[in-house]
Amino acid sequence: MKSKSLAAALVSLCVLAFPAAVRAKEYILTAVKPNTLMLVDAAARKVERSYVIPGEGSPLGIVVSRDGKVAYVVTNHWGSLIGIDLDSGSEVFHADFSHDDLRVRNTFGLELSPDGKEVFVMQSSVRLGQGEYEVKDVGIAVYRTDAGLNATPQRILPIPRRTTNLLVSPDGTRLYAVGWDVVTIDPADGTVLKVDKVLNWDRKDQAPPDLFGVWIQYEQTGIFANPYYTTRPGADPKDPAAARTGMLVLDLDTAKFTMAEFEDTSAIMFSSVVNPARRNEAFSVYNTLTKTDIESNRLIKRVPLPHTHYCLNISGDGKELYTAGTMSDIGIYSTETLERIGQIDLPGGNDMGGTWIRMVQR
Amino acid sequence: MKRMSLGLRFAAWASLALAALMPAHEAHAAEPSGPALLNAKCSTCHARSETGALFRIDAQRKTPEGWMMTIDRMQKWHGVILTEAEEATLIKHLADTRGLAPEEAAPFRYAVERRTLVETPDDSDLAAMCARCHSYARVGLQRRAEGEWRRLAHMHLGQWPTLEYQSLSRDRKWWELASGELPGKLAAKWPLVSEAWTAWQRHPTASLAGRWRVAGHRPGKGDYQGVLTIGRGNGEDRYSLDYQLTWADGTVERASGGAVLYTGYEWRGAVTLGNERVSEVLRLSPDGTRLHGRWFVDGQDAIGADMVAVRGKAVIAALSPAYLKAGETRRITIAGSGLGGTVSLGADVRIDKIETATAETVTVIASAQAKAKPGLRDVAVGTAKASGALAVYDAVSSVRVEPETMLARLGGGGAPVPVAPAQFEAVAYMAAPEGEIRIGPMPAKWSAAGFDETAIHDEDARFGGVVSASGLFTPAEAGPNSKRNGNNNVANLLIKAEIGDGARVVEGKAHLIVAPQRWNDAAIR
Amino acid sequence: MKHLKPINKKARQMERLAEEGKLDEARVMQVVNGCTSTFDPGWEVDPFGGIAALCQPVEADLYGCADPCWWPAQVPDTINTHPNWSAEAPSGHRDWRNLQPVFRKK
Repeated sequence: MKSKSLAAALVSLCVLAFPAAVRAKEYILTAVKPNTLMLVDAAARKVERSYVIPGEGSPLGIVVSRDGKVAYVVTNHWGSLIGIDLDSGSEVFHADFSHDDLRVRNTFGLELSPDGKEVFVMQSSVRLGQGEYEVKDVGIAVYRTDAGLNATPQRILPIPRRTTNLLVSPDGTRLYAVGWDVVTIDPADGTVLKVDKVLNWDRKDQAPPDLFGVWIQYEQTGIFANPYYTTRPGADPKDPAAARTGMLVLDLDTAKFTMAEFEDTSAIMFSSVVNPARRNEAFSVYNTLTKTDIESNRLIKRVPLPHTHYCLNISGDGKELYTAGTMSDIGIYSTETLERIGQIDLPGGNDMGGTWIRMVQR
Repeated sequence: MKRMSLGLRFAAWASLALAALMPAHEAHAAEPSGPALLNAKCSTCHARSETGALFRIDAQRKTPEGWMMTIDRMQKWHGVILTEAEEATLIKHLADTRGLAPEEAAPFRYAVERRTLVETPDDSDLAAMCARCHSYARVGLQRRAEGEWRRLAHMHLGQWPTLEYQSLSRDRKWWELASGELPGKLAAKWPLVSEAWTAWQRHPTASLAGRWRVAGHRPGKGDYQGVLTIGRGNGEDRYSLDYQLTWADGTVERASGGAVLYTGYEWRGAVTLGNERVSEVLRLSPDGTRLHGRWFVDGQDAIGADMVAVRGKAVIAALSPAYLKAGETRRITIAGSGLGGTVSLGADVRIDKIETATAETVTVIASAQAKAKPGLRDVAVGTAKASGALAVYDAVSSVRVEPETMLARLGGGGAPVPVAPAQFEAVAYMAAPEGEIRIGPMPAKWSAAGFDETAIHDEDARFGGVVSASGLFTPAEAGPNSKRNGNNNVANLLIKAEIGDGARVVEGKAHLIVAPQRWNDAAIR
Repeated sequence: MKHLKPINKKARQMERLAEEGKLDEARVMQVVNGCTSTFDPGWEVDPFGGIAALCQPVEADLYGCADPCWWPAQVPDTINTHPNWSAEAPSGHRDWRNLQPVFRKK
């Protein structure tokens, strides 16, 4: 009995102290032109495997099943979603969005249900008619991931135009759609459960914010963070506080939603990631790498990047940042100091462009 | 000039979208007419209504360039197959029957003349919706019914689905505006049916064959004068051109080419001038006696010249030079047609000698009195008059560089997109109680510097390109530059011109952005 | 390599002004014909009329422009209009010479 409980205690201690040792290995999953997924062993700093995606185009959104086995990638000029089995490398899911006389494109939003059974795709459609085009309402197409290689949407959920990111709660009961507002819907039928105002906010002291996000990279924390910019109505443009940068933070589990400014606007930031080890820390990229405290709403540190990065992700232990997008190099930075501590050059030297960077345990 | 070689040469021209508007082929009687082509090539998708109107096509009007862009899209996007001859016939027919009246095109001629300038849209809402991506002129050079404007909005978001996500559209309900109130606003502002167009359609189209007196000014090179002999070409509104030009420095040049007159006034010519192939975009005056506009070097449209051509009785085309300093004596040439009679250059200007006096050229030696009142003078040769055609000045009070805001583009470097240069000119002004008066372009000393602190820090002037003694800015090569830490040669520059006025030096400035290439371009940007 | 932006006080001010709705409208009214005023961050000029806040060099993040059709009047969009424009240039920085103009030549 005694030894058994000791063993159990040791095991739990190990889990706490050496999570990486007992968990699956951590990988970075991103993509390069032309239409190639790259699975990178983060610790080894090397590409372990690459996957050529059938067809043309280059990847935009990437979502991965929680078991790390299947990646779903928007490609074909934002016209198809393709699922790749990361073990076999084979194509296990394929949906061409366009059908009949409708030309359908994904516009940024892409998310997978926690159980991996459904994938959500933000879609914008136009009917190519006889001598004219007709723009249709946008919607979230829901596909069953077991629908095979000729998948069609299981249902279409109505959603406001200009929606960008789609995010799902860990229990799968809520789908958050980020746009002019964060609209929370029931993924089963599209029922609006809650609206958190963004551009429609009631604040009188600040103008409606400019919020635009393409990338989702919350998987280490379940917290979505995205920078926004706002101005003070009537402020003298020379006043340093006339424009302010803030962070929208959404806890996908609790649905807690906050927006708060943390600095006078002094840098552009495209996307952000939250630290799983210290969940008050958010990191953002564009031409600089920025560390902010999203509890006290303070800018902690900012360093230049050698070139633009659009997106970034973070190691499970919260120690390393991986900057990605644009060219073919992933920059590795210390979350502590923002020092550049490494680099992974993707073989072939081809551009990542606007694609995403995801962390995968497998 | 042999028509065959002319045709072949035109067919080989490959530098500008406008080439499709040029007489690139011989018209043959056997070729289908415009209406026949509309039926054969367009009506499959653009069905006829009960009244016989072609869907969409009959609900819009535009310039020759506008129709060319549409037909180009129909070929690239929708697989319409047209020969070059068929395309030219269709553009001509559509521009003639569904064109713009001269006064409708007038505010936006700069766009077809390929002039670079800062636009000043008269409606900020329309500008924000439409001129965010392309010029305001591109919209203003179209007329559509409301439903047709709405279909244009549908095409835009259908073809470019992220338009509503971009900066300056995601802050508004872009699609709701573009498909909702905007088409009505556009149809009220730029309607399909207008009195001007109704009246212009009744206007007889003049024949242009004959002898024309030509004058103009090319920034970076100077004034020119000459004679244009227009011959009848093979086909309706088609002409052959033969130029004899004399530049201000005495150089004589011959040039030849062809032109098509669209819509009864829109002249599009293609001319070989020395080693240069140039495109002419001129407008014919309603009375058929005056052509004026601009020509430019194909593929380098910032390099070009203003031009006027006149014919008929007692008309002055231009003076060269068109200014005289108080106390100065100069030779001044007056170019015109049907000239004869007493020459007057206005108050305080004495005609010392008449060197030449023909119906087309009057050359005089003129002196401005030392105390001549600064200002513009009306010029007369007999009954031919030109209001304010001679500037008499006492001192250069300021210099303005034209264009004051300009764009050049990196290019070359082993890649297929060439540099897009910029041509500057220093224009002198004199002080006057009512405001500064333009004297005219003068030789200047040119230089380039960083526009601001950042540009100076980044050594933009070193990397962006070179400005020549004639004010021609040639941008640097495109692509990353290892000497610039891998940055490319984009630059934010201040272009300076210094004009000597006696012992004084007067300086003018312009802002030049040296931008990346544009891989996409259009006849109307 | 992109130079750090904002590089100085003026550039910082520029980026602040970029967030000023009214200033943006004003810039829309004052753009050289044929240039874009989609200032996030811009193709030829940034919201302040300069270049300090642009992506530089464009060759590095060219496909962040072309693939989402951000400046389709200047840069061919690969969503619908010119899907294979960048097929011969998978690295913008290395292969930009392979990018062909899409405007008509004849």
